[in-house]
Amino acid sequence: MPIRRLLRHRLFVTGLSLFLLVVVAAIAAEWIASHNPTRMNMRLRFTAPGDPRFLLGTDAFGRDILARLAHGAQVSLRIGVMVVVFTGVFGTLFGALSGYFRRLDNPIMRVMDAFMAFPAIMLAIAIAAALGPSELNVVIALAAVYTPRTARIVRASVLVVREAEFVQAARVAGAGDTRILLGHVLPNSLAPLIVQLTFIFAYSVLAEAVLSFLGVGPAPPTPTWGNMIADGRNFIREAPWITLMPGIAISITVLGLNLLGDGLRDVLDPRMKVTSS
Amino acid sequence: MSPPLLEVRDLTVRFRTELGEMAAIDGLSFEAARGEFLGIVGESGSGKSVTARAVMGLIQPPGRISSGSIRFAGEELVGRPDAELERLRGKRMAMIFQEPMTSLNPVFPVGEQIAEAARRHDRLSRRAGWDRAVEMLAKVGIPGAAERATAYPHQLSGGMRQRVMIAMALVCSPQMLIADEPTTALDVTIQAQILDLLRQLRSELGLTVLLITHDLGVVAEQADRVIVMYAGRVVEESPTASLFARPLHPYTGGLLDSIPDLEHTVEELPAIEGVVPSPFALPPGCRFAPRCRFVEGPCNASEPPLRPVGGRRTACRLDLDLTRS
Repeated sequence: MPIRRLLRHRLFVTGLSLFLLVVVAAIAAEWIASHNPTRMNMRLRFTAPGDPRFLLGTDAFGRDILARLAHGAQVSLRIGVMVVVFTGVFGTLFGALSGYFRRLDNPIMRVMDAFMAFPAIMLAIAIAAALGPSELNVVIALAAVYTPRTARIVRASVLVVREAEFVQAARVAGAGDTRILLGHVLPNSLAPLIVQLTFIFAYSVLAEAVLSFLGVGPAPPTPTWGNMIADGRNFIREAPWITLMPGIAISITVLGLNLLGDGLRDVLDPRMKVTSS
Repeated sequence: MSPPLLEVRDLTVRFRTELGEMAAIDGLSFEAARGEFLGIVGESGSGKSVTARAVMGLIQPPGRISSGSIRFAGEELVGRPDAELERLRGKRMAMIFQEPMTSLNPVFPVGEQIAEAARRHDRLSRRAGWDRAVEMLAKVGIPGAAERATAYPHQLSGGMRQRVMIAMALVCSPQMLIADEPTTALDVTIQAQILDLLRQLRSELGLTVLLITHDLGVVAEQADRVIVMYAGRVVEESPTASLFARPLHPYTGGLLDSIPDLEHTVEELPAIEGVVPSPFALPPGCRFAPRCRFVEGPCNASEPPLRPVGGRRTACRLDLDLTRS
């Protein structure tokens, strides 16, 4: 039923299509771009988009932008997925523990608050810079930044659900804390988490681009969208497509994920309903 | 006479609040025989729900059982570790709540929720647990039980959900069922059906039922015996018929007077003046004295004990004749 309602939600379907476009590009990177994304060809540098060999043009080193975009999509999605998994797991763990076992609430949430006191991107830069530029370190940095927010959201819904009458009913039926938390409280607290995770996916893609741009992401010549924008910024007058193309890719991904998240929220959380389907 | 199934002695439950510690129930004693249908009546704040929770072992901080004993089938429950209570809850004693709308987990089919307790306590397989759930749904009068077991709570009406709750409570054949205002949230016609169901199941299964309610009408129809609570204490305990014919305590009398009479028109429904005293500012004497029509000097001096009067008990020191026509 919710799936049918989702598919009737026009914005959700738009978001899903945009996001799937990126996913397909990432999966089919080897096929849609026959060029090696890191092979340079100085004679073919600054080819404008529209060239039959280089559909989206080439960059300052003569590398195919389409190939780099598609491979960059792999990096972005991989990082996004890993950040979502890590934040999902740790956010749920910390949030559920501090929401359900009130004695753990203060110790856990005050640490989370400390993390949240730093501006997100500054903290991510600091962590990524400290750990060195690599894909895994970007994931660690972003997960550390987004886990506290997620924990807060999970904690909030656990706090509400644990007082529900059906939790009492489970308790009088002899269920213990573990059973109640895993079987009754968490399944009813997931909707806001799922919505939040789609937004975190979008933020991660954006943040990864920022980190790459600033040189603390996966090191060049790894094709990431942030690296591509950084590479192209010196030639923005002569060859604007070098920065424009990855910029569009980032926009499409982030927009798609945001619409997806909005749609999910409308369907999963009727109380927040603002847009009609 | 066989020993009572449930025996509560001098039970005091205290809650720590910002204003200090207060006793929600204070020196409460009562018992329930096997197979008895016992009504516990009182207004909001009288401690009847706390009593139910205490018996189920559900008092959690900031609340605590500060003294007294609860014996169930001869075993002391106060001070038992939670793991042992968990084995008792749902297996030998069960409870249903006021709000059937919210007492079921919205994300699982009702059959699964009924089966859960059976699987845990009786070590049934998934399959056998499901079969038992369907059997229970049929027993509580749900037509098309096998099909209804796959329904989610939002697909059922309030009355249906309360039936599901009862099925869930009784799936492991407990000896005692505590029903905390089970019909308050239901339509009057559904109320009657649910109460009839409880009575029928009680005789069928030899169940002891503790029915907690603020509705004397519900008690009148169903209960063998009634306990009237006021401000955390028992003020009267009596077989149902004699309670209604001749209440011993002025509070009970006041409650009965405030039930609208269908035969006569009255200008104004009699009410008991005043409100239940705050647990932080209890009167020094009888807790009902400030609202009592018959109050005398000694009533305010010391708290009257619960005294036996011809097989009944009352906490009023006066021998009043409140016989009702």
